[in-house]
Amino acid sequence: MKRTDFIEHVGWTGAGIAWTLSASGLMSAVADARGIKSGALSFVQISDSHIGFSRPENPDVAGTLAKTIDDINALPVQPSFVVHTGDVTHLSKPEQFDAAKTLLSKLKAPLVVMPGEHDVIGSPDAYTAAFGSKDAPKGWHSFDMGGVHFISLVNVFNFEIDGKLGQEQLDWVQADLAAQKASTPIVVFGHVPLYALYPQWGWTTEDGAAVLAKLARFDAVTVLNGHIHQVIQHTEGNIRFATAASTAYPQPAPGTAAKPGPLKVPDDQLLGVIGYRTVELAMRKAAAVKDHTLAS
Amino acid sequence: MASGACARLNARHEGIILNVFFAAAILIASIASPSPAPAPPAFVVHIKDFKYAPAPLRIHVGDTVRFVNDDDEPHTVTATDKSFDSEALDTNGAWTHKFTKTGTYAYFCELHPYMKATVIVSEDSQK
Repeated sequence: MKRTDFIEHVGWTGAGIAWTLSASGLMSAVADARGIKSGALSFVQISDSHIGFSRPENPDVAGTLAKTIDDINALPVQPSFVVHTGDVTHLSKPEQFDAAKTLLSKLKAPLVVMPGEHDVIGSPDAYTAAFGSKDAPKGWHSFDMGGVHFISLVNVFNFEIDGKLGQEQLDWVQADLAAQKASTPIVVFGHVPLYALYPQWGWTTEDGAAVLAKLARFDAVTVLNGHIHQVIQHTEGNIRFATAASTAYPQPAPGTAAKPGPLKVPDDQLLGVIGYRTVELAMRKAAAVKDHTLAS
Repeated sequence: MASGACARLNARHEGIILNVFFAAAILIASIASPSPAPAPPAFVVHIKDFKYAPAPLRIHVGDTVRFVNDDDEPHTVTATDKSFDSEALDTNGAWTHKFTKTGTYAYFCELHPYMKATVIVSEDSQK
């Protein structure tokens, strides 16, 4: 019997998602085997490290990524995995990938990575050499953990307008989701926001609506993105969206500047606007999406 | 002009300046070496505030265009048909491309794909 069979009902409670299990022991049993607090599955999202960036907005992006990793390694309960939602490097250079890999290898938890547009400038070759996986020959993939179905998408290949998934990936998503029960909690990762967050600055995925339509039949979906270097939460029907802070530097809120790009804050305030996110999926409780700055 | 300046200095600081004079002469000789320096590009496209300017750019076959990134964000100059690609241009980065065939070349920034412009290349006006 599959783990997902034990999930009887998934519904909304207030701002979050409640996971209710019919057989109380299973998720906690799975979690215990992974060394997680009983009854909870947790993971961490980091994003937009831009290794190679050295301008005044953050002259030490390697240092702030290292601090992020130290903070994650010091969490009282280690996450099941850490997902990096893209823009690992600033300019897709092999030496930038090498530096990023060296830093990220210090994480205690397993790492899941997807590329941002800064990781595939010119070609995806340097990214693939650094983070390519046989399990994801095209870049996108899915996996199951603790009764939750996770999907990692790539919306930065061959885009000419905004973020774009492409027909091949859309077909794959459709087949992948067709095998899932509507009651299975779905968590989707991708670099560029999948909905039209602020198209004027390219903060949207051109064909994202096609994926969102395929997610409509599920009871609860969480979509976690990066790209915009700030936390913005949004809800559409059954889908809850949250973009993440960068580990490097912030960007202006949509429409508050003439253009997107690195936002200079006073030096002593930088650590307060960058950081990481913990996501805890607990039985009978709202999913806790919690953002942590490096200053906290 | 340079040797004239040196000559005036030489009159005042004869001994010390002599070596400087020779060094300067060697330097001048190396700068003025006969290998022909490539002609500076007659056309420059600046990338500023997420825009290419001038756009469209009208040039002739054989013209060379220099693209300069004046923004804090990196940009690229990438042909829509992928026939040319600057790859990443960081702040103050520049890339030069010679257009050898007539046509209208649409290009965009891979990092900010809504940034678009064209280069229109017509027959060589001197033929």
